[in-house]
Amino acid sequence: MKENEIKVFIKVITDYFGSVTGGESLASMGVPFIKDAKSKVFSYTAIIGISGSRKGGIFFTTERPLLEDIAFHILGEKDVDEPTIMDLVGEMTNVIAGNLRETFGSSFFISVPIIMKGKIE
Amino acid sequence: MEKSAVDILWILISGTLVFIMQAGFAMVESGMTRSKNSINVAIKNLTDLGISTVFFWAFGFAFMFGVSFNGFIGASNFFFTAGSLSLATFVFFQITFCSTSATIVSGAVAERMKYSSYIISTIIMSVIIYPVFGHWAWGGVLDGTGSGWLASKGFIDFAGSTVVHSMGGWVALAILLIIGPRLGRFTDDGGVNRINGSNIPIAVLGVMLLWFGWFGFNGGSTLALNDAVAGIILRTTLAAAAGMMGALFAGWPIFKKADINLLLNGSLAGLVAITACCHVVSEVNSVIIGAAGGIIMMLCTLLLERLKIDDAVGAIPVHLAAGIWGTLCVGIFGSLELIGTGLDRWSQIVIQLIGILSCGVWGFGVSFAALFIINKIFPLRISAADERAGLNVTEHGVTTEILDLYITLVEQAKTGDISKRAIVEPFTEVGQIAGMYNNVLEKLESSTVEKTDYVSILDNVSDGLFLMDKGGIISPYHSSALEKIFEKTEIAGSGFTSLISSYIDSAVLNSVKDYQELLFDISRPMRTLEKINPLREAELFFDLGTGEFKNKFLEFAFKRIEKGDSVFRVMVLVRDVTIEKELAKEIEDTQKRTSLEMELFYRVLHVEPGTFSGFIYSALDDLDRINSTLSVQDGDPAEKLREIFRITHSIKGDSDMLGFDFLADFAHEIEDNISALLKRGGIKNDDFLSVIISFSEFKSIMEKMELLFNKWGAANSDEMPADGKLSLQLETLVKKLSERHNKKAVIDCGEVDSIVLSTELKKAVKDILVQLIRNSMFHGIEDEKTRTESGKNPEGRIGVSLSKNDDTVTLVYSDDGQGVDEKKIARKMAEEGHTGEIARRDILKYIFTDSGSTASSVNKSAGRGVGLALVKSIVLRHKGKILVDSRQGKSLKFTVTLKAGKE
Repeated sequence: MKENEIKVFIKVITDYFGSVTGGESLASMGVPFIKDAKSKVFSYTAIIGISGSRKGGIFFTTERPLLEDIAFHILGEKDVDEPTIMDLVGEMTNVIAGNLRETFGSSFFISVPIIMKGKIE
Repeated sequence: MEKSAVDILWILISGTLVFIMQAGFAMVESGMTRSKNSINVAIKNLTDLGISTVFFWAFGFAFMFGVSFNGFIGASNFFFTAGSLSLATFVFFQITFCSTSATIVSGAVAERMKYSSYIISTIIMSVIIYPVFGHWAWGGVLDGTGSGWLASKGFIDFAGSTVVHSMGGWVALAILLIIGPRLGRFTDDGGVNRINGSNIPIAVLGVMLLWFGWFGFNGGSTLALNDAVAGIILRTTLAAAAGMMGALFAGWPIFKKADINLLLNGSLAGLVAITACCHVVSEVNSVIIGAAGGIIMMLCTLLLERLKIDDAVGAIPVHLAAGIWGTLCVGIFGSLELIGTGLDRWSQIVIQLIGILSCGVWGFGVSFAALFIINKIFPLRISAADERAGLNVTEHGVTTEILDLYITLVEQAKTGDISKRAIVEPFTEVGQIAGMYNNVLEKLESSTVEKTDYVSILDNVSDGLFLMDKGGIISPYHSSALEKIFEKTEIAGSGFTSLISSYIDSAVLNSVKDYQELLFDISRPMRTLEKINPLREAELFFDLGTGEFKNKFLEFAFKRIEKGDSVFRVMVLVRDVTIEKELAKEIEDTQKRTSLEMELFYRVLHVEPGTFSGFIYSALDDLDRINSTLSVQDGDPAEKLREIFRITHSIKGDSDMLGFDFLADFAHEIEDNISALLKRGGIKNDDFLSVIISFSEFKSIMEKMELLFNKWGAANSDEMPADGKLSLQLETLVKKLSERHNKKAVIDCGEVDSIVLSTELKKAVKDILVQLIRNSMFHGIEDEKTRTESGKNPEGRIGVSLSKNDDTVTLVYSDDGQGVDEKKIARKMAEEGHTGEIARRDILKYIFTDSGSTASSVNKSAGRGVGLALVKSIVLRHKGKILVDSRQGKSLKFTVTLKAGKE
């Protein structure tokens, strides 16, 4: 991936979080680093496979408080049950992947999201 | 009434001739009906013969020839016992007449009347109807019994045109009106369907037998072999012949053909007509009577059809109509003298008419009334289903070959099993049909088997193969490989584009839709279309539902199937070439990898394996450190960049030392990038992107090298030293740097190789030494000329010694260069804003900072001002200390202590 493509990718993600939380400028990227085998996985993870003109995957991992915040913004309540949280992780990833598809074109195939719960200690 | 032996013989012969007529009736009736009923019709003939014989003997004879009760009915001689030869002959002769009358009914009502009902009607007929009227006309023949009332009035019916034949016809008419026509004989819209007989030759033979038997019927009715007999027989045969011709030639213009029924029934009608009058008319008259009888029969047939009365064999036209005509002919043509009643012609005709009418009233009236009531209680007619199946099987359980064929056909229609064969009855028409039918079945079955063959081909072919119609709908028969390729069942019936839509780029899908239209447009040449096939090499993406995709490379080929001037179907062949594609890609990748490996191999060839592994280990470790520096989200971005810079510098140093110029160059580029960012200031998170992309690439190169090394390691593990000798590496580095900076120098590594250190410490020591050597070679050691001028050995000397005590490692490093240029540093410090006096201690500290380099230009080995800063960071990480002993112009010495275990 080229730098400008990564920037598009980041913009799609920050835009998403910005628009969900109601402030475009609120979301920004932290210090980037390379994901490797040693990288941490949080409690909730969604994976979407990518094929077509590009191959790989989109991987979104987070902790529950963030999801509860997002749930509050989207659903209007923080107190949501586990299945809803799981759905939310998948749905967020799916929306982001879908938005990326708009940028990367129709040959950017995205799979259905796979949702995982729990970390590897 | 005693008779001569000759007369008795003649009557017996005549009786047997009349009996033969039963056979004739059986043949005519069964031949003229359909074969599904023929057995039933024939057996009815036998049945009525038996029933009528017994019942006429028991009761009928008494009613007919018993002592007359007012001329209306006989009433003696029940269960008649013949006392004499003549009487026995007479009874036998009369029984055959009764049977003849009774059997007429069976033909008319054939194909729909119940067998049991027929027995009832036969009993009624032979006990009451026939004998009572017989008494009226013929009573009093036996001595002292008294004549019947009609006979007394002068009614003449010589052999029974009315008594036998018309009577049979009246009863048949009564039953026909009660039971109705056969199914399908008359249609609702007024049409008439002819139901053809099954065996006309038999019917013809039957007619001939009747004709033959009639010689006894008429000839025997004289009850003596007298002068009249020969003439009677002659006129009988003439009338039969005339009847046949009359019906034939009258019917030919009407029916436009020689109708078989007219020929058969015409003969019989002539015979019936002459029966009443054969003893009193001339030969010419007999021909006229016979011919007219035939024509009357034909007209009556047409009338019955119009009235929708269904007479299966024409019994009413023959026996009733011609019988009436014949009876009238006694009065019309008969010689009054021979008649001998003493009546004039008109009176005779009137009495004949009275006889005819009374026969109708009695015969029709009684049978209709009796059977109408019986029908209400016990239906005379069979069910429609039985009628369709045929009476042979429903009434008697007897099959014929046609029924067997019929059953086979019904069975096959029901089950669809075409492996069954019809029974072929040899020497029969149905047998031939069955044989032909079997041949058709053979062919049909073999073509069905061919279809099965095609289907099994479709099941086994490894490519996807299907037909699609103009709407793009996939036909029911497609190869099962198609389902495997698309990992989907129930493909048939779905649209081609919708089948592939979820696996393919929407832009490609749109061009497929257009292409599909072009395929069915016959004006487009296929050769051109082949070139623009958008699916010639298509990549399809299958979502596995596990967050992964499976890519398939499919080749689609299209072929038109034309019908007339249009494209009827398009055959589509789908080949899965994924494996081929993957192999090709693998080969390409392998080639690429091989060339990269060859390049690395070339470079690595001269590096001692232990050194190489040490390098890989430390570089990957450095890269990890960089990543973990970045992954810590808080902290000053500029400080992070500086840290990364230091680590990069270490990698660069190592790369340089081992001669991996391309890696050193890469690291140098990264350093350039970071420097530029630091210089620009205002570092944002976004700025790290370009840096981490570079590191990610660097890392992947290192990983490749690691892979390469592991391969070698596996191959050469026996010959590989446990570790690379540090002394050797350092010597190489010095040599290399000497060349680069055009300086002469040697290094004395002492016992460094013999000190056993942990991996971390070994790396720390090495990193420190590399940076110190680079520092010496760039800053400390002067060029050859300067050294000579200052009275030094032109060749610089670097000394290294390493010692270990418990967990402390002491590294002493020295060179005989110019030492730290304190003035130059003091100047630089002043430039950067240091005020006041700068102590020597501060200067020596300053050289360990990032900006501490005094190099006038930046190149690969120095000038970054990072080398000694890196040394400091390593030492700090290992809780160590550095002592600097700098002697201006003479030497520089570092004493470094490190503690095992990182901070």
